[in-house]
Amino acid sequence: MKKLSKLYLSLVLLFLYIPIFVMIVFSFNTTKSRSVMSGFTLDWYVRLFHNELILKSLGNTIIIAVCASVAATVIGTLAAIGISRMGKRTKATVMQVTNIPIVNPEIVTGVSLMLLFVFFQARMNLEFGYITLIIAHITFDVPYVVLNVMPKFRQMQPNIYEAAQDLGCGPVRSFFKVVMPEIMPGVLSGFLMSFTFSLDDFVVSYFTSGATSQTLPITIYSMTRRKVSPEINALSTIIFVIVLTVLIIKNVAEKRKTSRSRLAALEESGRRASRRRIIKRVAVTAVVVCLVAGMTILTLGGFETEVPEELAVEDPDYYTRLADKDITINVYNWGEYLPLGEDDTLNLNEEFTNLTGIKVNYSTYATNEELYAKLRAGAASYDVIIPSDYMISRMIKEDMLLPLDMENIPNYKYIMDKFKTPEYDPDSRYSVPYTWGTVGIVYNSDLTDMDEEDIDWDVLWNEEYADEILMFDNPRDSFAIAQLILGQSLNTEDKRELRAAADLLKEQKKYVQAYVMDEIFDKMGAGEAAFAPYYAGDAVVMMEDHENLGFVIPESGTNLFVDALCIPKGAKNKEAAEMYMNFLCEPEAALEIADFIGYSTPNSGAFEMLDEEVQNDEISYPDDEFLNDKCEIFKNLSDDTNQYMQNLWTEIKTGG
Amino acid sequence: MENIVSLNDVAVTFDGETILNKINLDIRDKEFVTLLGPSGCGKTTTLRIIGGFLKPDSGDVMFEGKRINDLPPYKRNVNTVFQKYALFPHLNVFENIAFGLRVKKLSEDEIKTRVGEMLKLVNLSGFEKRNIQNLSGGQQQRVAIARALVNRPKVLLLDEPLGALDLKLRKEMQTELKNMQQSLEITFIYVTHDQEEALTMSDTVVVMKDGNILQVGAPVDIYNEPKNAFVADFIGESNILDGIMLRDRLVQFCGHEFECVDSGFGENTFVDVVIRPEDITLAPPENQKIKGIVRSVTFKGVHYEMVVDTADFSWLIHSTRAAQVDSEVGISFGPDDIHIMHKMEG
Repeated sequence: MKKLSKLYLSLVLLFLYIPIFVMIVFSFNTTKSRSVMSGFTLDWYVRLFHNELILKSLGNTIIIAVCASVAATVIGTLAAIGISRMGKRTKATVMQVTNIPIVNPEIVTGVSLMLLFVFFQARMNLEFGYITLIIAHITFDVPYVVLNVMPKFRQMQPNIYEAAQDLGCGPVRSFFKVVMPEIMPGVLSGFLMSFTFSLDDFVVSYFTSGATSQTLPITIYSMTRRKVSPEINALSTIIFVIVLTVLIIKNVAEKRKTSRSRLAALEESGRRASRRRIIKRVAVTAVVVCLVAGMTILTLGGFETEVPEELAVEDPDYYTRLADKDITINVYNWGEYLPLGEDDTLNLNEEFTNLTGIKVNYSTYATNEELYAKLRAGAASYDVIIPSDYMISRMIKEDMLLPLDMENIPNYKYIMDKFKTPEYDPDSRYSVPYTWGTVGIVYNSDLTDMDEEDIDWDVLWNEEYADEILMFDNPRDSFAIAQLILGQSLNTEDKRELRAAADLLKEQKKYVQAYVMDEIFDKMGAGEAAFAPYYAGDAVVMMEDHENLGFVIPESGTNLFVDALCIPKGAKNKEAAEMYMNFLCEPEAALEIADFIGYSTPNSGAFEMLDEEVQNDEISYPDDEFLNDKCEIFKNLSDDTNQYMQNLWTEIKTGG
Repeated sequence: MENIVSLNDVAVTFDGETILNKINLDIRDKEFVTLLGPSGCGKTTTLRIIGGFLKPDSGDVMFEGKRINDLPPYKRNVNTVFQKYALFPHLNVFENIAFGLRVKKLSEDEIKTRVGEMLKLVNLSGFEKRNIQNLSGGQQQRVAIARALVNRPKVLLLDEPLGALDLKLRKEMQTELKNMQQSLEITFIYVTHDQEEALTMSDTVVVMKDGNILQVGAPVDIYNEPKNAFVADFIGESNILDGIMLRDRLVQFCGHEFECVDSGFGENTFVDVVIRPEDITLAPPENQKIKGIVRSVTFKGVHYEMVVDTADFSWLIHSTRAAQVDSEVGISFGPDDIHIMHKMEG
């Protein structure tokens, strides 16, 4: 029995700590892989402290957390004083009301605050940003302060406030001299609790942040779109280590104290539960302090960074005309979709500011749908966004984009003709292509000896590779593959055709090992599967780390995707936004972007600067004939079709 | 002697309930006054009004002849020892006592001297650095007293300060408090519901009930000449019977007529008849007007406490001799032992 309970305990501990252990190990991995440990490096830590977006978001997070928790502590403490002096029944009622925000789902708090702010935005010119975030954070922080301070009033000696007055102190002085020291532990733990809740809040921040104030959790979330970067492992490891250290120090100190006095020990056990919480809060605070310190040290030159050469632009005069206007534009992009100085890349935003005097507020999202929702909510105003093809057609249809003034974007001339007047924006009035790519098949040469030419979409239905096949875990991409086999249009709205594609996917299910998205990297890298569909640009990056992986774009055809720069309605600085777009179309900038993301560039100037080897690479740059004849771009489907496809997809995944 | 504190027609109501019903009270300088009464009688409220923690709805609070209704507590030359001590947990013994002196910004030397004196007075020398939480109840009590007295108030208010102590400690502290009051020569206003404590320490006892002052007097007078049955009962246990004053010096109760020493009640007036348990002697039943059966006998150390049931009353009797349970006894008392009181209103 004793053995069993020990085993059980160790299982529980393993369950709790293995994920953290794995994360720590891989934060030192030389490659991005999450399954193969290929060597030891501190690179990710160095990069972490050079990742401008992470540092900026961290800065935002800290500013907001400090402001909100200080304000909440003052408000909450004052509230607790008031509540503690109320009659019994009023007190109970007020406490109930105060506690509602705690039990209320965060999403409700977030949405309702957003609606409130939108209401005031229209009437009082309230900008979404620091102010709205701080107000929102105060809202959910205050109840925790009240909750922490109230018990201190209950535990407090009765009459000590009167006793101080009796001994000659005025009311205010009495409060600070005798009441404050008594409630201080509660105030402090309330403060720390608020601070950490603010620090790691995602949901409420997501709804109430604007273009200027992205917090760390939101940034991290947007980075996960492609793959959790090991920088995040490094960040989490630092946090974990600091928490652990603080805990150990605290526990050792506590142990010493308890062995000193057994009486104290008895008292201790009662308070320990709440103390644990406090310790955790203290720890997180310490983490932040250390991060800030580390940041400062590193930016002060702890590590030497190579400063890349300045970017050459064609017509420098064009960029100076708005220099003295003190303009800031808000750019909303995919996570990790613009070089910002990581890995010795150029920081394009900084370059742009140096060149034009226009400041850039940069924030990130993870999906087209997230971008759409944010714009629809009207909470923040952006000047430049980068949606994908089908989303652009939807936004055009719903009148959410501003037509561009191409005279202001002379570099549009660099956009290859084949990317002009696309189906999603037939007159090229709304979008300037940014990157593009195709979908193909990743294969593991250790697990198959098929020739590349023979690999086509039907390999994903090959019984021989049953359970060695991975498939996309989203309906549109999966249906597209079935549709390619069936020779349908990828944009069909014909329900019979969709049903046929669904049937084909159902048939495939028995061979599929798993439906996954970015885990494809790891599963393929680790040799767990032989074939998987994926996006070309990402596959190229993957192949750099794994020699045994190859990538084919099936000859029968594929889906071509384009992400393009657009200006949403409500943009405040259209001219500056167009200047920014023009800047990103500078051949050298476009080259940096293509290098950084790994996707193909639609910019002819950049293309010409590529190595010949890359220019001729069939994966990144298939020939025009193939692109024209065999590739189809997604268009927006009607809501009805989307819903139908979603239902079929659910049927496929859940059905026997 | 001068009156140091006077309450004139002081009334307090709270939520429509009368807490103090226009009370009048004069407290002379250097007196040990005890406000005595059951809980809810208004004694603590009276103390809080003197301390300045509560403003009366009407009436005047006078201190050395000046009206101090609007003077906040921190400006009054009065200090309080609170019911649960209200010591400051974050300060040690020395700093607790020094609190008032520091507020007054006295020099460090003077603070040291005065706190030292006080610690000596309350027998806590050497406890300066101690933590409040590590003190016993009695020690905390002493710190609370020292903390108040160190300010040299003219009046010290004490709100049931000994309530939390055990019996033996309470007795000791009673004597000590009395001694302190006499040696310091300041006025003590003491609130308690313990009649024995009140009788032991006080120069003057103020008996209160339902927001009214029933009787003010020296302990002996209050005990021997309670103004009404409530006071009589509250100041020591009593047998209180319904009676009719037939005429001066003749009262009827329990179906019999008895001679007594009281007069001036008129004829055929309903009155309360009070007979103290220790004034009753047990006699053979044959010659007595009142006879009863002994229901219980309890040994109380000095005396036995017995309950004797008669037809319409249950008597409490203290005697040094025990009777047999269930035996029939006669109840005997003299005319001096019968106290006649006006029926209380309500």
